Amino acid sequence: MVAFQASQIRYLAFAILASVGLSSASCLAQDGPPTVTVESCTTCHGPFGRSLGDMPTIAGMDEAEMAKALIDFRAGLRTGTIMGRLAGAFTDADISAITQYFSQIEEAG
Amino acid sequence: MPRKLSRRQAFGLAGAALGTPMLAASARAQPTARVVVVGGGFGGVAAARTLRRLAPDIAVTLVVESPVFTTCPFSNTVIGGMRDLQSIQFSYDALQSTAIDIHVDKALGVETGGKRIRLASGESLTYDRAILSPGIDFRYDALPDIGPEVAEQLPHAWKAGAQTLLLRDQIRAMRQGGTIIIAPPDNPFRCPPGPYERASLIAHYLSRHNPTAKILIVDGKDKFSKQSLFQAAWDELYPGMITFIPFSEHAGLKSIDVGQRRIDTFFGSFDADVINLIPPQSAAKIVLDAGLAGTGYWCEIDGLTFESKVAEGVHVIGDAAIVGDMPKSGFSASTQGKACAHAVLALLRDNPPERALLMNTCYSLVGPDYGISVAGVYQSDTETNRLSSLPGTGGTSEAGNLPQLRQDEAAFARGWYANLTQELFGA
Repeated sequence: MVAFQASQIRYLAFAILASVGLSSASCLAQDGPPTVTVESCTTCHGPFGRSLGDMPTIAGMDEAEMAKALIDFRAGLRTGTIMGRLAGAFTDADISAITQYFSQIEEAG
Repeated sequence: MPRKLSRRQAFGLAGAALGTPMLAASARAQPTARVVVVGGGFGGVAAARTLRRLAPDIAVTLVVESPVFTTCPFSNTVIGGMRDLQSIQFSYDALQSTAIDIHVDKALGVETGGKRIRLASGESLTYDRAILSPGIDFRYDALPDIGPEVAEQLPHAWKAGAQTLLLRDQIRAMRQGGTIIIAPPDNPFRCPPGPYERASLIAHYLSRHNPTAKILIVDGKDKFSKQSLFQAAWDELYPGMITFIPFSEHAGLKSIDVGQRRIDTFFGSFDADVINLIPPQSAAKIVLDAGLAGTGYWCEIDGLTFESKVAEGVHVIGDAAIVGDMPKSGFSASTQGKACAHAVLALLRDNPPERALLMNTCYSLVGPDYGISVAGVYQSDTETNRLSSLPGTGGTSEAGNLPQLRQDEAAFARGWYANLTQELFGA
């Protein structure tokens, strides 16, 4: 298994986001507490993104993988039960904030 | 691998910066501000916990009416015999360790001028900003010649707890082949798809224990949330058991014979064995008395900050408020609680509030393995701050014969409930 360093992961995420036309400004690391939009995610996905039941856990997800999933939901390229109906509202900056935040949380508390 | 943030660091960056568990503002000499939150449900608890996590320097007080909260979401599963009441009840014990100052007391009044909240115990809490999430009360005066006392015989079960069990037990005791009337009000009211989920889960129970019984929905409106999905599911799961009678076919309730379990409408009469009378509703009395609803029944608020349009420093969230296009749901209330906590903090710090995306998903169970949903994304517009549905987003589950999707949505409904109640009431 290939282990990436944080800087590499950030770069990979940047490369993927850039390749689908997202602005680089949205990829800047965010300091401070999560935004309200980020906090909305945990209402379904569990405290800190750690799900107890059938809802997918998003804590600790690979940042680039998560960004691609959200971009695909937004574009209607990925099917799901709910996310396709929500992701259409996400701006590039929202996706960046969401993926940066949850990718940095340990999967298990 | 990169070092990942622990739980405390992840959501409590301010607390993490102190290098210690978050200090209780009340334990410190001088909190920078006092915020009092009224209401121990989805909105109030979300607001209190979010604010506590974001701002250790602010004193956060939470006033709850009872030491145990019974959730309205999933209370229909209790009525349908799928869960017991204890499984939808939560204490505030875990919140004690978060340094939220919890008062189990009834908030009696809000003095918006003096910035004080009066409690039944006689105590008075002063605030710099108040967040009110008091829920609803019933408008029995809008029904013909009956008062709140009829709820002992014709349960509303629209505030969960003893009423939930009363309705469940009346249905269990009903004769074979009996009739249950569900009488929902016109809009707006708490949990728009709730009455129809209830009809579904009662039908689930009846199909096993009383298969010749019938359910009549004598509705205060002509259309309801997720109607085509519900009706398709009823035809599939409970054929012939549930009949929806829209307002236009009965023209409203004319009189109710409580003893005979009989409803007379302007166009005809309906006899029943059990009547679930869900009255028209208003914001809870405490906010009406404080003048926060003006001459109406619900509180008008600013969609960016949730601040009342009539009282400075008072924010209203959840079912008591008209929040643009957002429905009155536990999910909405918790989302608003988080957003309101951020907004209150921004205002206290003289920062601009975030114009966030607020999300809502209302799951309904039609059977134990049959779920449907309606979702929405809302944002305050830059001119009026009204929280409006964003075009091209939201909507209901796909229609059609999709058994795997229905099963997945039932599982996600349970998953959502487990996750949100853990986030609000868990350690």
